[in-house]
Amino acid sequence: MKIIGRTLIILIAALAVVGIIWMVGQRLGTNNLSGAGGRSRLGDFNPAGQPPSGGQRFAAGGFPDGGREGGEGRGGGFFGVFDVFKNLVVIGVIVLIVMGFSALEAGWQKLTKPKPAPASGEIPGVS
Amino acid sequence: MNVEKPSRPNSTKVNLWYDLALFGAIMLALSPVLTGTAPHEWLGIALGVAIIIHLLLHWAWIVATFTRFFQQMSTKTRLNLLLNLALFIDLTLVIFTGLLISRVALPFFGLVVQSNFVWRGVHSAAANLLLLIFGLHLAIHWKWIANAGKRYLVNPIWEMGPKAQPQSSMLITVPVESEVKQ
Repeated sequence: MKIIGRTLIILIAALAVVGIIWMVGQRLGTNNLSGAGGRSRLGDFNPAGQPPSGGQRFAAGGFPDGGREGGEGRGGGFFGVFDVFKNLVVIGVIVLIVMGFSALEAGWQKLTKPKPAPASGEIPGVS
Repeated sequence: MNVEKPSRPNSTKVNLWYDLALFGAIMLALSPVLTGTAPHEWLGIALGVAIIIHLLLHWAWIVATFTRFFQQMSTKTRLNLLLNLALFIDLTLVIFTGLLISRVALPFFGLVVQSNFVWRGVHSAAANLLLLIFGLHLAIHWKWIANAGKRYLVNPIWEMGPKAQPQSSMLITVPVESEVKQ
């Protein structure tokens, strides 16, 4: 019961985000789910293999204005390993930068931390 | 009669393995070139469920941090919460726009989507942003990842290797010595 309630809270939060995105999309006139009718002002994606219909502004299997497609086709490919590697490198660099900053911050705090005053009766430097 | 109580699973261990699997899934989902469209879409939908489970696993922290947000709290924790919030919003954006440009998953359920170039652009930009925020999320939790990884991944593997050898050699030498005495 607890888990269901928590899941519902998460879903409601996600729905709120989706609602905002949807509203922004409608203002921009980009929503075209089934039943919405008309085409987007910027053109639709034309899946590979479908014959071009009238009024289309781009070749079959492509995007208008040279949209990102590349290897993101139906099949996938081994060259995608480089994509994973690239993402891992990006994450690694971010982690290194943040860790570097953390180390610097810790070092700075150590330097600027006021040294504790010697206890009364103790001679500094003599143990 | 001894009835053994079922031991509760170690939460750190569960979190580590779950997060490792989640990391792998996100890495795959961020590389549609490798997976192809259909697995990319199904993986994206599955990630939505996996993220909910991840949030449920850390529910106590979420509630505690949200309730203390406007009270006394360290800047680091506050930043962490804001970053996690951004990650949640961005993930929702990526999954939702992914559904809006779906060519396999939604048609499978009988929903026809006229894919839109703008949504595709938003999906792509949000995915790029996700990589950045995800990297920051990992960086902030790096100490925990390193410690838990060392404890539950590196150490068990390390203990299996060099330390196991002397024990096994002792087991072999014992019968040999007894044979000499005989």
